[in-house]
Amino acid sequence: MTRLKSSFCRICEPACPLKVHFDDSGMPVELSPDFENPAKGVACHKGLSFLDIHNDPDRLNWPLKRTNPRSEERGEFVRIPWGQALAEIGSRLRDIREQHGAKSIATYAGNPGAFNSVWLLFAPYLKQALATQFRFTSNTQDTSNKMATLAEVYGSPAAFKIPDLDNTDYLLCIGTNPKVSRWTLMSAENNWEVVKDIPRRGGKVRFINPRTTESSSVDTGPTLRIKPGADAYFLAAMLHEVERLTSFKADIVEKYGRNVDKLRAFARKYSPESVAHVTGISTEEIRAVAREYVEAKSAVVYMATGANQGRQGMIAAWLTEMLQFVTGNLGRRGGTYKPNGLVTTCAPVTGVTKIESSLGTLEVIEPGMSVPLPANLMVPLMTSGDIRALLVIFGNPLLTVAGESEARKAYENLELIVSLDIFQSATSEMADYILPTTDFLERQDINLVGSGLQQRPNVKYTAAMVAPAHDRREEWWILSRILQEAGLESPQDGNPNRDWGTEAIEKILANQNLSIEKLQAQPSGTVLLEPVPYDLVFEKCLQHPDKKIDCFPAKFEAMGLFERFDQIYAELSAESDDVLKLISLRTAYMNNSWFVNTPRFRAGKERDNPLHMSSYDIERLGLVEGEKVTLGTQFGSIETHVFTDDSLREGVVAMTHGYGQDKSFGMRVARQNAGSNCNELMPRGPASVEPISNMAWLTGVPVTVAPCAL
Amino acid sequence: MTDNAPVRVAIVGAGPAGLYAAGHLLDNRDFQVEIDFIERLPTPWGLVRSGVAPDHAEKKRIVDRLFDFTLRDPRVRFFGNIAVGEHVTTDELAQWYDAVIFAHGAGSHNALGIEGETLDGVWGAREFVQFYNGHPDQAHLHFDVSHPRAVIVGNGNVALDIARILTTDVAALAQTDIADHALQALRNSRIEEVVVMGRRDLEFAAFNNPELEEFDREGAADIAVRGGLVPPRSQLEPLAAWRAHRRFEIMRALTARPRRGGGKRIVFHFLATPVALRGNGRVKQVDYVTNSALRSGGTVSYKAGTEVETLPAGLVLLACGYRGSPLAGLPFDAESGVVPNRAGRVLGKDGALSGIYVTGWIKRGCRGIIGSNRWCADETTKGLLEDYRAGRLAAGALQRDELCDLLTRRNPDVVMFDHWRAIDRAERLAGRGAGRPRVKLTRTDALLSAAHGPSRRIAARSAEPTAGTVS
Repeated sequence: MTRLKSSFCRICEPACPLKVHFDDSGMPVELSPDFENPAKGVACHKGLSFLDIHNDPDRLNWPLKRTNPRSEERGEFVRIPWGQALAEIGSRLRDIREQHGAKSIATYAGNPGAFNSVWLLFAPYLKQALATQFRFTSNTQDTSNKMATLAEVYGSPAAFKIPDLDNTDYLLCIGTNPKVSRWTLMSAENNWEVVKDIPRRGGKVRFINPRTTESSSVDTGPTLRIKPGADAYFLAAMLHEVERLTSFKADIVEKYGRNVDKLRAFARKYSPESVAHVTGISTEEIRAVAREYVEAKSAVVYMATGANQGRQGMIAAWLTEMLQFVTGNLGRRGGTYKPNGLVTTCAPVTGVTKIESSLGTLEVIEPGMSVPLPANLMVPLMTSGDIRALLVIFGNPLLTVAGESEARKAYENLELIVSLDIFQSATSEMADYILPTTDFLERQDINLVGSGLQQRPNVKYTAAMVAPAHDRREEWWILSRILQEAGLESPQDGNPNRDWGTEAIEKILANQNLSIEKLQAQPSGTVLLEPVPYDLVFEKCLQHPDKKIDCFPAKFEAMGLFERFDQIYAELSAESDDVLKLISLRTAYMNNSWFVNTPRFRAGKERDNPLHMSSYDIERLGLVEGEKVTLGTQFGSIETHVFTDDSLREGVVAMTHGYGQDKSFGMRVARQNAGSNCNELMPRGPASVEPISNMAWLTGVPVTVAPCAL
Repeated sequence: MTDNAPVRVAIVGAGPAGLYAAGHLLDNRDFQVEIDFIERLPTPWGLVRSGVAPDHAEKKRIVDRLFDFTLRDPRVRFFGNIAVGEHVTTDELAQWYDAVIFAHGAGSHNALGIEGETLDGVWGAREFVQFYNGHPDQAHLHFDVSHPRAVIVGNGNVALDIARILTTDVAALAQTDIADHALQALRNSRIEEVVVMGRRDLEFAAFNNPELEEFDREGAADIAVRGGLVPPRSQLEPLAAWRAHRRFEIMRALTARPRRGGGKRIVFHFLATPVALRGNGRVKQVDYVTNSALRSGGTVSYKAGTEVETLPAGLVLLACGYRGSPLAGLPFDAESGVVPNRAGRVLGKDGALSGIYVTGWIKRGCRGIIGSNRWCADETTKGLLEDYRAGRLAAGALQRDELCDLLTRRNPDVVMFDHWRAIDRAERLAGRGAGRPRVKLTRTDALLSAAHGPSRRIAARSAEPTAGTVS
């Protein structure tokens, strides 16, 4: 007899409802979509394949300790008991702190942490207890520009709004492929019909992207294939046209706008004619989009990762916010709004922490964890000796941050590396200690990260579907115990059996007068939250003391963002047409590097990550499909092979990151199908980072492609 | 995965069967593997290159790409232009490697067993398909296309491919990777009618529906049906399988299409069996009888009539299935045209031969589509790895580097992966100006020149040891 339990997926934002099927022995044997969940959304192949990860024979089951020097590529690891692992790590951390200070211990938290609510709640605790300022996360690879922009414009880095997809008349998507990526920084039920419904009800959908993505079709809308890294200029020209057509006459501009005249002056500078060349989109096309946008009864601009990573993510995010605001599409039906959620307040900016380092003074916005230090500075800070030890919490920074070869050398010289993960990743391979954590079937959870970003606001609770196998433990427990052993403040102090995870969940649920018990009593463990009025956004999100929206933040100017905007404009204008630009390609079979060891996602052409090129560029360079090529930048080079892809604009090449697994000895499938690591090519060092947001430049990077000698 | 020495496997034949087997071996995570392909031709891909019709570019491209990812794996080596029986023997391979998988496919076709099969103008479909696909073995052939009618015996997917190629506008074919010599021959073709003759009726004809549906495209030949009727919609048995329903629907639509005029036509002649091919040295006519279908329960059988009718034709292509042929040193069941095996383990007189396997057509007979080889190879490779785990494989005598040296000595013109890349590149670049995916090199000399460069070839020509001498 199969038994069924409700749970939900924790691979990406939608948190799709799942049914877990158990056999008689209590083993999960199948995952299927949970159609009964009132929050809706149908789990996709990734979530439904999660048992492949759960049962993967390469999973980490016991604490491992490296016994050979890190200079040797392949680690020799021995299994040790938890007691020994924690005691040894604790004492080494204590020594390092005593010798080099608290700051010398850096932390890096990877993207899976976003889908682990107890970790999200524990992270601020760890930050405080460890008292290190060298905190890094994957945010500076994908989203921190948005948080930094919200902090300046609204006074809170958490002032997120989402598009009202159900009601909008116009959806303009920039630098995003939501059909494949399932949206980011918003949690929409996984149902592509919602987008197809827009044209069905007479609305329009448009995409701005260097490639015609899977999202763009006859059922949704066309793509204007923009040159990579030019989104900010396209948006500036949009604003120019909107100003020309509307003079920013919306009522809310008068009521909530600050520095509107400065915004107007900015808008007037960048006409469609002036950006046509750098964007590769004609004046007429830009005008047409702007007109459609202005004329739509309600409209949304949604920009995401592609624009975030293009080295001017803040300008793009700011202009996106401004377009919504000046057209009155902020806080109205069919526009952008702030849905109900578990966290009911957007915490205001309290200040800036200045961190002294050998690279000079670094700054991070407080509070919150959303705009950490640039991950691109980890390696220089290690090399300079500022960082002596690295604590990695389900991250793989060795492969996901720019410059793997250089990073390997820097990591080698660290005094201590500890990695918490479910797999022995490339980064873990270099660690002194690898500590096995739980997967999402092995821990209780709520859908915290999407809360306040949901199309259909809901709170889901899931119990652990199975007990953690072997010696796997939850992160909060591992880290609490490490803190204790290091002689630091820990939630376990005085009460070793304390269930901090449950307490933390209960505490946040109480915000909506909910509890685990109440949720468990509901079908599929889910409660739908009451909808809130669209215009509540003005109450919730406006966190500057004057409750205004800053349309032209002084910090942008002070930190040189506008100057940079003009410099890059000049650079792009002068650029030869022959320059190839590398963009990041999202596929439906990889989610960062989540499925890199999952055989069913690594067959056929998913075996590795070739260089996608248009036929035009392949022929122009005298290459052929399948040919081995060297892909290079001033920062590094890798070998790959050519794959014809005419969804790309001419002059644009694309690769998927998360590969280059040849040294991931503990992940057999990944290693056998290694692919190459395009992050090796990415710009690094202080100049590669966007001021304020600390975002890395990871897409639209100029590259050279040359055939490898036979 | 163990850190022990890898399992070293030779796969004979770099077609879909062998490539799927390699894929499965590469995907296993228990044992390290090293795979060497031993391929008679200088080119890989087998029937994907020499079987799939040139106007099926998309299919070819998808499969090509899939296999390309297998062949470029660093654990895989390609030794093209190495023929078993000429440069190496089966026994040698068995000795050198831990295991050998034979995936050499079908080298022959089923004969009809009727009078006149050896007349000029009568060919196996395989020869014609390889001819238009530029297989070096058939590049020299001359097909007589001067008579207005060609008859294809058999109505499987291969028959439909051939009918399509014989009737498609040459200008359209010129945009494909069809062999140039075939294009030249088709330019001179006077064929007006292609008869696809099959024993069974429409409902049970051997082709698949999607292949039939392909005739519903612009520029396709007119379609007519003779012999078996296409029943009007009202007469369809309500319970007939949806597959049958669909093919009736398709055929009805095809035959009801207005005639395009001036074009060629294809006649599906159902319920007809040839009894003799006649002509004086060269075929002039097909003698056939009409069958009647006898239905009982869910099955149908066919009864041949006695009245012999005649259809004049200048070209007869026998498309009644491919057939495996024996390979020296390997058991062969002449009856069924396969290597006797149990789940892929080759059977000798006294049971399974250690370390010798088969997959693909030579294992299961010539049935199935490209993808069928995936499941077939899965069974074979599972058995192989099981045997390895159980210690039933004798370790191969030669190491990876030694094998490379030895094979290169046996044939200095060996084509390795990078050489194949050079061929591929030359063909694709040649196609570029003409708007074609590639212009195939169809003669071995030309292929080897592209592979090695003309100068390298002449220099390497000196030593040519033969199989059986370990040098």
